[in-house]
Amino acid sequence: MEAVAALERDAQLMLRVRQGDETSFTLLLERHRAPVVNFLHRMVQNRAVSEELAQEVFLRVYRSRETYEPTAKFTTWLFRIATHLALNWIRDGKKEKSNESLSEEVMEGVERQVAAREPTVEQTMIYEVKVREIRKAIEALPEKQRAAVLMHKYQGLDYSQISGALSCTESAVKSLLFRAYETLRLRLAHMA
Amino acid sequence: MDCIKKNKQGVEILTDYCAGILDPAAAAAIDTHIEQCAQCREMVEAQRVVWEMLDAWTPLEVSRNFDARLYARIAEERAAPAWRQWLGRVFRPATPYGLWKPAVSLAAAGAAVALALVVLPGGMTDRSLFTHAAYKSTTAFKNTTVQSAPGSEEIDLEQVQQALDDMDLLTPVGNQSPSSPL
Repeated sequence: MEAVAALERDAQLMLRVRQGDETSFTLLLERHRAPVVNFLHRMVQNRAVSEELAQEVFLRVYRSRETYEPTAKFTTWLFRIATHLALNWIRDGKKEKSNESLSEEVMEGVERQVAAREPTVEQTMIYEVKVREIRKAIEALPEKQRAAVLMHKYQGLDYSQISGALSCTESAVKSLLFRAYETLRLRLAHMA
Repeated sequence: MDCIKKNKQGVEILTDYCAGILDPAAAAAIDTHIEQCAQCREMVEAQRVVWEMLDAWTPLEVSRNFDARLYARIAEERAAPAWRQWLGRVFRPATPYGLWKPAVSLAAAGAAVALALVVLPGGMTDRSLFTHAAYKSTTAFKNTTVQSAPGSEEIDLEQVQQALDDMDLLTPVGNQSPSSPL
């Protein structure tokens, strides 16, 4: 019920943007900015690139306002654009050129994990090792499996939404997720 | 209950169970099953480890100037001429065109057919045109030579002209001298 309401709200906002209401675009941006940036960050594993791609996502949303039709859930459409841009970036081979330092992300993450306390050196090191392993495991997944896992785990998209974002069938999505989680189970089991 | 991990649908159910998206009745059935089935219990535990590990990768804060940068780009785009806005919509669509794959296949098939028509025996190629022109010019020169052999004072000027014209045909396009009428 909540999902239906969300769909209606996003679609209605987008329809208002179509009519020239700029405030509705700001509301859409506020709702989806962080999920899109974080999805892209986990896909390309580079903060600057993920923000640049997210800018392009919202620019394309804005550019499409006049032709927008609420035929699918807004989030499905949004993540379809984001996935398309991320996969293009990865396939263009730009990944090799962008070596991001983990330190900034680790500091942000560990501070959130041990909220309201100054993290110890040991806690920081443990967290860094953990995040590095997760990032490597996710990065090692084939692109589509990676996108499917990230949308399933972090964005909470259901099979139908993921299939819409990846332009494949629901059964293909289930297969992608099955293989991806199997690989992750083998790779991350020792970290328990 | 048989081991549900043994079929593909069962693995999906166990994955949904770990993700906490199964309805309470189905989740309760899985609770009961994994108490008795070591294989499924092992899989569920491994999947929970993965799930918890992935939770450790916390989201990042978005840069404070993200919106300002975006609105600047939007303003820039809105100020652009209409034709540039149109090009942006056509060449950078929100989602990829669904028809590009069949269109590329069709174009590739068309190119293959065109190539086959040109290359296969019987087709008129540039090479055959070249050979034809060379043959004509050689024949014309032969005739000219015969007619201008020692002892003969008459030269067929028309044939010489024809031969020279044929020679012109052999010159690749673009290599003509500036004075060439072509």
